[in-house]
Amino acid sequence: MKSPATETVRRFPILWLVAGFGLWSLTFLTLYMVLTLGCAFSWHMTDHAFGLSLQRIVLVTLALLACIANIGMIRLYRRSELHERRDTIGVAADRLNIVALFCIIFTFGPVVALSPCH
Amino acid sequence: MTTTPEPDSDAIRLHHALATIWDTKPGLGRLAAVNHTVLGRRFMIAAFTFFAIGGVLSMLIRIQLATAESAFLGPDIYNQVFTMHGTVMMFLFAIPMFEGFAIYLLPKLLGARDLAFPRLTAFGFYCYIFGGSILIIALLFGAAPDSGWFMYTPLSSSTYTPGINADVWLLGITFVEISAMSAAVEITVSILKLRAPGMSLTRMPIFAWYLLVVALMMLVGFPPMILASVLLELERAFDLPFFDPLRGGDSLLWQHLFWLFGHPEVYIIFLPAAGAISTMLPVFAQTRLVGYGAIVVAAIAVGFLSFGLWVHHMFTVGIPHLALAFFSAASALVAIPTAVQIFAWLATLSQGRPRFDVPMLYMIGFFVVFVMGGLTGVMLAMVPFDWQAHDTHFVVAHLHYVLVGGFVFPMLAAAYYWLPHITGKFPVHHLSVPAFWLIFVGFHITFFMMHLTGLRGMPRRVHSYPDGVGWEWLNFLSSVGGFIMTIGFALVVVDIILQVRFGKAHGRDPWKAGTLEWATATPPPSYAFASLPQIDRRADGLEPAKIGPELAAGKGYLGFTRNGWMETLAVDMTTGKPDHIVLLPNSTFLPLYTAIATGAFVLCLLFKLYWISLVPLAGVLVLLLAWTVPCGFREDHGPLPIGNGLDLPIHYEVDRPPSWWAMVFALVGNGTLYTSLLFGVLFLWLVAPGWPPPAVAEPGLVLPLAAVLLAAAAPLLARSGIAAAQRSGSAFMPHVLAAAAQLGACLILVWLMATAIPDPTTHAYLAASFVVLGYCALHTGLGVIFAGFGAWRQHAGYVSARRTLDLRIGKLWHDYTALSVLAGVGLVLLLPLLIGFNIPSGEQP
Amino acid sequence: MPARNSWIKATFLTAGGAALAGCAGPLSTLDPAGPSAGAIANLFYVMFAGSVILFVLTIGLLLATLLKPGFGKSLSPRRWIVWGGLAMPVVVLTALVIFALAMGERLIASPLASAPERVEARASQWVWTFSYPDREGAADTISVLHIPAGEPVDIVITAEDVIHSFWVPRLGGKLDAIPGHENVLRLLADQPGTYGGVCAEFCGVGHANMDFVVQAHEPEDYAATVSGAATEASQ
Repeated sequence: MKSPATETVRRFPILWLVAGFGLWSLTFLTLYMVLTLGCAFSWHMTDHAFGLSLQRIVLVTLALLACIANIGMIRLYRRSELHERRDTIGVAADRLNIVALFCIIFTFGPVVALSPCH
Repeated sequence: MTTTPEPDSDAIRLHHALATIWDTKPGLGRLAAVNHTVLGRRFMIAAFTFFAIGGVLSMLIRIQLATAESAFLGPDIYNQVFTMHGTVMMFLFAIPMFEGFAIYLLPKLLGARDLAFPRLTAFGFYCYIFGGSILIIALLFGAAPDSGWFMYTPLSSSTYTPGINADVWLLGITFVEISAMSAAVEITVSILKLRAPGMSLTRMPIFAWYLLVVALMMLVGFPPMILASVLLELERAFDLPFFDPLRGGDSLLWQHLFWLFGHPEVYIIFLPAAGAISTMLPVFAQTRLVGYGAIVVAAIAVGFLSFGLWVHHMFTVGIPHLALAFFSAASALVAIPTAVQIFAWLATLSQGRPRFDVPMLYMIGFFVVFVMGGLTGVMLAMVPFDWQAHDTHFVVAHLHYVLVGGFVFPMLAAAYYWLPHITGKFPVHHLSVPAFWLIFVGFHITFFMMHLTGLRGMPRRVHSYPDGVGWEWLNFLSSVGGFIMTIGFALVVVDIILQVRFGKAHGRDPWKAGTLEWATATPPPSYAFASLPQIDRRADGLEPAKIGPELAAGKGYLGFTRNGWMETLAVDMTTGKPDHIVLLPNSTFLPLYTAIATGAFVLCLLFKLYWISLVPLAGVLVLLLAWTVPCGFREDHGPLPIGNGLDLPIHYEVDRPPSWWAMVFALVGNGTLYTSLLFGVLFLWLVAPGWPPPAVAEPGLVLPLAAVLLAAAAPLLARSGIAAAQRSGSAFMPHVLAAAAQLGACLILVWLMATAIPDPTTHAYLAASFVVLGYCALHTGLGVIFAGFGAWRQHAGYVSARRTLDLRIGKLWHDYTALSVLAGVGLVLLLPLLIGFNIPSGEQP
Repeated sequence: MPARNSWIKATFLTAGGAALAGCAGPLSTLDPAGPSAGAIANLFYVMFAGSVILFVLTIGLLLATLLKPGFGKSLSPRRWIVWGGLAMPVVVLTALVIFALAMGERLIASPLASAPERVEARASQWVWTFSYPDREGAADTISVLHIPAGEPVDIVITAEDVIHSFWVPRLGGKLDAIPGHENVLRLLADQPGTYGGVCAEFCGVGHANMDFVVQAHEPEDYAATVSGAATEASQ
């Protein structure tokens, strides 16, 4: 992870405050787009393993990936300089990452059950 | 100026020296004002005027609906009235009111002498006034918009609204939004950079956190609507069918873009008010705000979540249930950070010893009204209930509880709290308390009834309703309540006039607050602080009454004048370490002239004088270039003393001054608009009826690739130019070459627009490709100007090894343009392939 | 369902909702005449009761802190925020969202084993035209929609000019009529009768007058009426 992104975050630690919810936003856009795409191409009509449609498999996988990425982000943050400082902003950034994980689960949890295209 | 006389003669001498430089000139010179105190006041007065206009319109609505089968207003007038009521309250009252409030207050809270871009403040103000005036004048001529403040297509398209009405909305509001966007950039940069030394992020007053979140939300929230307005105006004016279902467009695209703005808008309005509550409440609880960190987390969470619930305005358009679930869940989630804030305020009250005063009364009113609005908001977030309640008076009730509760009550509290700062007079309450009760009781009578009217099935936006459906007495009560509330507002106006006229002068910090704005004299001098403080703790626990006189005596930073410059300090955005001196521009008529030229352009478009409109457009460009004339130096200054033994460079000689950040944030907003456009095209491909299109674009590969390569060459050339300047102090050629590259790219793109795309009026896909290429062409065209400007600055001696700011701002533009040309040309090449896919059913299942 | 509905309604009324007394009305969402509207009315009553409790709690706490200085001082600010601001809404909202989404899933027009009767509702400025593709020879009806009572009906909603919205408050939620799109709304009327409907989306100067009625018939009468309507229309 020694990338321009890590370098930017090191120089502007304030970016950690938007990391978790940035991921939430990205997940939101991706899932909504893939859902629309899948409905347009009738992915929900296909029957793959265990009676699951391609639509369901793709959406659940993406939501799980978002959760994993968010957990990775929480861990990455806890090794950062900002977290070391443990001041208000350092703590706030940590909480925001955790809150974002909760929001990802809460917002995208319905992918496991609801009608994807009706 | 000062009502508290400073015994110190040094202080008086310093005051005069600063006032000579900073004061707005009298007479016509007032039109050249760029000062934040002056413009903040003007913004607020103008916004209040529009509030009164919107209020009169709401009275007309209530008269009309007081009885069944009313014949007071016909449907055509009624439609204009309710459209304008919503439009005026949202765009001409709420947003500008908090902008004015922020413009007035922020520098004083942060310990700066002004905002980062005073001329932009003035330009935004004039755009707001001119745009707002266009709408009001149209109303007086009976040609006001009448398709609802949400302007749904196809009702607002030229087929169903052939007159000028919808154009007035689209052009007038877009004009006003210039001021919102410029305020967003300005507030963001000012909070991040223009703070008192020592004010790290963790020491910022909570109000600044709120406004930082709000300004960033505006940067991302307004562009989708600006895009939608531009596209709809293109459809109306040039028949480019983005929203026409018969030609591959989709009215749902409008709804998505509009509500992608429209919902965050609600929080854009609420958060500044919450910031005001968080600032005032601890003062009256006689303690400090508790849960500062939790509130920062909550505000940021709201900022994001509010972008994930726009479809809750579209639960009934037939979107799949799973997609509705995302938005429903996010709509419910947003209640949690709001609850966190409310309980942080309750905890603050519990930790202190609350005392009562008029602002406190309005804050209690806020709690009651806003909590009710929040609860009905959660109800409406539940999809099945919304299917019943959507577009009924239940929603009218809910939104007024949220907006009046969440904005008007806090702003009235803020008015009573900060008016003594603005006027230097302390109120002699006679009318404040009865006024409050009239507003509070009148409000509930008006809007509580509407919950019931809505549940009993009354739709919104009907100009009349039949007898015997059970809505009559509820509507009548609502109307009575409306008039009671209006009397209350009238009393507030009288009360404020009395306060300004007869109020008693007061000393510093009359409320015993702990924030920095009370350290200025009241009314505040134009330069706000004669010298800037060093902050050593969270900036809501200061002692303004103590530090005020010290600052006035020049004991802080920059407690002197030099070269007639208007100086303030910029700090490192995280740590608050002083970083450089910012030189601010002085009073000038340029913002006014530029706004007049912009207004002329808008009017040309409104009256369909498209060729003539190029003249004012060129005027805008020339005037904007003229803004740069007083900026910059032809010699290096190096670090200069700022007092207390510190030396700092001026902003032309540092890496990342406010103007550089402004470019970054402006591009963020611009990028949001462009991303919305690209996603919009894909949305049409997937969802709109009438696809595939009758013909596809045939740009070939050579020319598009050439455009991409030329656009990519410009930033590389700009980089080499900057590197050369930093080595040797001058490099002319790279910028000329960059300009040539951008020009080449621009010409190719225009050529492609003209030749490669079959008639763009025949299908939304072709229109979209045309507009995407047009966007790229516009950006490369402006790239020519940026590169040419760099070359000219170089030539004219404004650039040295230390002074490369102009070039680096240009580089940002070239970077952005290269990326957007790549994305745009890529999409135009990709679309024919996507269309080639056989979509099984053209419609949403 | 009707039994539970009346039970909740009774509780609610006795609980002191005097302000809401007399919820009946030709267009009242709180006077349901079908399972869809009934379920949503129940959802409302549940949320309303919950809202009253939460409102009293929050404003009660506010008044306590204001009128009894020192109230809640022993509770640390952290606890105030974590319990009141986080724990309480998280629990309430999670339960509510799951409940509401489950309800929504039951109400949407998802495929059924035996396909319901399909009727078409076409909106134009400012009139509703209904047709009956499942019934051969049935003529269109204007501003009157006939449906069989006691069985689900799928209403295929389209628009010919601008956006409108099909809403029969006593039977269920609304669904928009959007040009170029086809939306399907499933409604069921428990009993034969006449139910008022309105256009719920602003559609221009005639918006307020774009009302219609739904006439639910005994299934055996339905076919006759629809073909009879043909005769009426031809006269």
